[in-house]
Amino acid sequence: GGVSLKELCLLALDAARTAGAGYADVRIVNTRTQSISTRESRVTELSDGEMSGIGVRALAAGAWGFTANRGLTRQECQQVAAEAVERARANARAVRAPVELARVDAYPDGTWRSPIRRDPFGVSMEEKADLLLSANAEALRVAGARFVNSSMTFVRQQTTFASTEGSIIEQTAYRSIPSMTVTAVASDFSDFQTRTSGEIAPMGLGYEHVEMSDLQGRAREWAEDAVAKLSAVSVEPGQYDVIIDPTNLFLTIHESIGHPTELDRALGYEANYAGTSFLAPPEDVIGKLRFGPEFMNVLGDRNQEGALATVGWDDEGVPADSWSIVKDGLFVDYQTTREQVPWISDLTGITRSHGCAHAQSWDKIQFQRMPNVSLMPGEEDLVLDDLISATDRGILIKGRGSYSIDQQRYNFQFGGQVFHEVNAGKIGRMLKDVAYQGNTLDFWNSMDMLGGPRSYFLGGTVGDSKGQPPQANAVSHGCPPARFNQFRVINTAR
Amino acid sequence: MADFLSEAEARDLCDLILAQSTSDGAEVNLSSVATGNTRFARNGITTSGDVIVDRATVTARVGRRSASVTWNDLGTAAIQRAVARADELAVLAPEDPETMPLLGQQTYEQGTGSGWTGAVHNEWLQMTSPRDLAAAAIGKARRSIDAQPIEPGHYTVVLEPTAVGNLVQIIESELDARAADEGRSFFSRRGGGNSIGDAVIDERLTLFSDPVDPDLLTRPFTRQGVPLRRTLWIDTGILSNLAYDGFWAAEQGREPTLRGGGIKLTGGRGTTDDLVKTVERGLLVTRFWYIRPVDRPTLTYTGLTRDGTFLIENGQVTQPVRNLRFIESPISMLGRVEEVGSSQRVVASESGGGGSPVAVPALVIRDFHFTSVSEAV
Repeated sequence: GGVSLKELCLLALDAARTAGAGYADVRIVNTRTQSISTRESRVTELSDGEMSGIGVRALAAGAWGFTANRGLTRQECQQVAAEAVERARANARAVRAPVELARVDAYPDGTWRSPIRRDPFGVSMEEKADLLLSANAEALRVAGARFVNSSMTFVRQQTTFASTEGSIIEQTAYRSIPSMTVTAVASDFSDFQTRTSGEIAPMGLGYEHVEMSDLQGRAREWAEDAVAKLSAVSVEPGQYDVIIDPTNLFLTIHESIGHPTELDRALGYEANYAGTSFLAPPEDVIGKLRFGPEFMNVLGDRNQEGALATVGWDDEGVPADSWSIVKDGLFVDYQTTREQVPWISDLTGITRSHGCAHAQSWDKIQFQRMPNVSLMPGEEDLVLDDLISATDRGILIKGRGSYSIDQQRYNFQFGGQVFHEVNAGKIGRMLKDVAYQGNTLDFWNSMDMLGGPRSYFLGGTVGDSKGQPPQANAVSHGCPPARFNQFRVINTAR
Repeated sequence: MADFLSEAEARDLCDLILAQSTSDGAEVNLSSVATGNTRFARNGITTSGDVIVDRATVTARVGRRSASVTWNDLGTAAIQRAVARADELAVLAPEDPETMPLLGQQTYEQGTGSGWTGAVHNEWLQMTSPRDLAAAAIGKARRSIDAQPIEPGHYTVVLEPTAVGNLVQIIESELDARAADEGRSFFSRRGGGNSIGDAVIDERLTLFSDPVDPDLLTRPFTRQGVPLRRTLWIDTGILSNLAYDGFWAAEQGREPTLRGGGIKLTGGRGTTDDLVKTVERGLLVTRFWYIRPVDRPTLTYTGLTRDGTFLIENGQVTQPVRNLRFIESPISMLGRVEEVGSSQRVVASESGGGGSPVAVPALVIRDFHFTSVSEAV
């Protein structure tokens, strides 16, 4: 007869306890992914699919063990749990200090769902194809716009979680990812330029996000930008006041604030691949390191509505939290999980996890991942135009371009989609070959203007990679536009 | 528990899946992968995991319409549901004028490799021992203590094979004929068309793919079941081929040529140490990291050195230097080659995992462009 997912989870936990686990948690996850891609007037890909299975993490003899399998019968779930405990015991032989977990409350009846208004999986493929092909046609009306790709991808992840702490939690997270790129080619084939839809962020929302993104209405503007980039002026390198639109700044926040504030990186746990952090050791930097000016405040959270890392509870049953990472310009706290928070409790006074445990899917172990990390708007009601009018000699940067940063998060170089001169308070010629390059702390400490609440925008990325084997993560970053005083701009073509 | 599929089980499942489809035609791609991992950090085990991931993708065809469904529950009911969904979606999909006929029966190269299992070899027992790997890493770390900053600029560099692999693997994704013909690739020719026939890199160098080359040993067919054979991309410096899929090949009156089968660069003999001896003043680079595109028309990328960067003086490694950011083009740097070593398989991926096989030599390259210093250790 049918057995519910909750019952399967509880059977697995019983098996783990019987095998001697001091703690165990189990996730049964079903992930549905649907994608439709187009170029010009063709649909190039139409795919749908569902992957499901169970992953059990067990703590025995002070060490973690993990096993996962797609089988969801009673017997298979119990066997997975028993194997996870066996693995923990094997690992215990090479663990230097036993794992200790910060306390968490029990949630025996937790439920949560992304605040969607229109289920993307209920929308027909024809409606989706029509939307994309119409948008493509609009782009191609622009003289010089030669090629266009557009797509939408939807994800629905249903997780049933239970732990030996007494929590049983069911959550359903949605993601909607619409996108367009227009390519213009010079008539003599000497150059090509692209413009990607940076104003449209991937979001933890439903089909309403695609509708509000209005690809058809904006396609023309993106196509015109791509064509204009062909004849844009190649930038003169030097120091400029750099005004960065949130469609670009969100990624700089991700790379230069989000990553170095992951506690496991700071302590060397990800050195082999993702790297470490300049924000180390904790005792030297918590409450001491000046990240930026006094008006700079950065929050970590997993509860901003519609954001990609927003949940009800993390993958170890910790409820969604919101906390200061940078407060009045000083670095004050990291991102943490139940295992990590005791390492710095003495310094922060915080004894509960911030809820950053996340696994990409049932077949991978949960570990510390970035939550939403956002730069708070300033109190003054400034918008982008105000930053432009206040600038005598600057460069305005919009949209996400190239991005590269070193393994401790010091030295970075970021490009963008569209660049303009700013002269005597006005937008001037379009530029190209622009990148801003420098050091993280120099950059944030050069920030001298910040947009207000009306100018706040939630950007996001779905491709954050960490861990070996690597796991993907999706995360949003909110910010207003900001200005950076006399920062180094290079010409990437020279 | 659901176990790793045997060949017989996989064949039976494929037959079952195809038999369910009511469309004009269908193709199925079935994989079963057992992976294990153990992670160490701060001198202890942190986590480990074992998982078997099965994945089936069926693509249903109705005339010139097609759609795919991917799933992992291989029970009969789930198979029926998945195939029915693919059939349903295929009917709804718009017609694709570029649809090519389904593949008929094919013959494939017979490779002898087992699955990719280690840092440098397909056979576990032939892999460099973990102890030796660790000793090498520790040695580099010790020699990197107190690294001093060096002035950015153009340098002669000795790139260890891993560093060469990090950059050369980028070239593979650029070898697309359609993008070149459409004017949006490094291999586009001014005035139209692509650069096949042009000298693009040093004449000592040859770049090819071959699924049965002993340094590569990989699957001899694409995900769509198209056979992969030895393909010469760049022959003694001349661009000989670009990838043409079935549709574009037909449009251009050529045979299809597909990417896959790993990537190998050859052209010389010698170890990294041999190459270091030839350099009067330069830098020795272990590997590159966070490599990202900066300018697509010129295939210019930026990234950083990592995990062991040293000054070379009069043919000797003398002292460690701080890591540096570079801006370079993987193709144009191969036109500035001074010396070429012996090819070997490397782990070229950023995450240090498996991935498509890459075999490259150590290289000495002049005028490699470093643009700024990084304090990162």
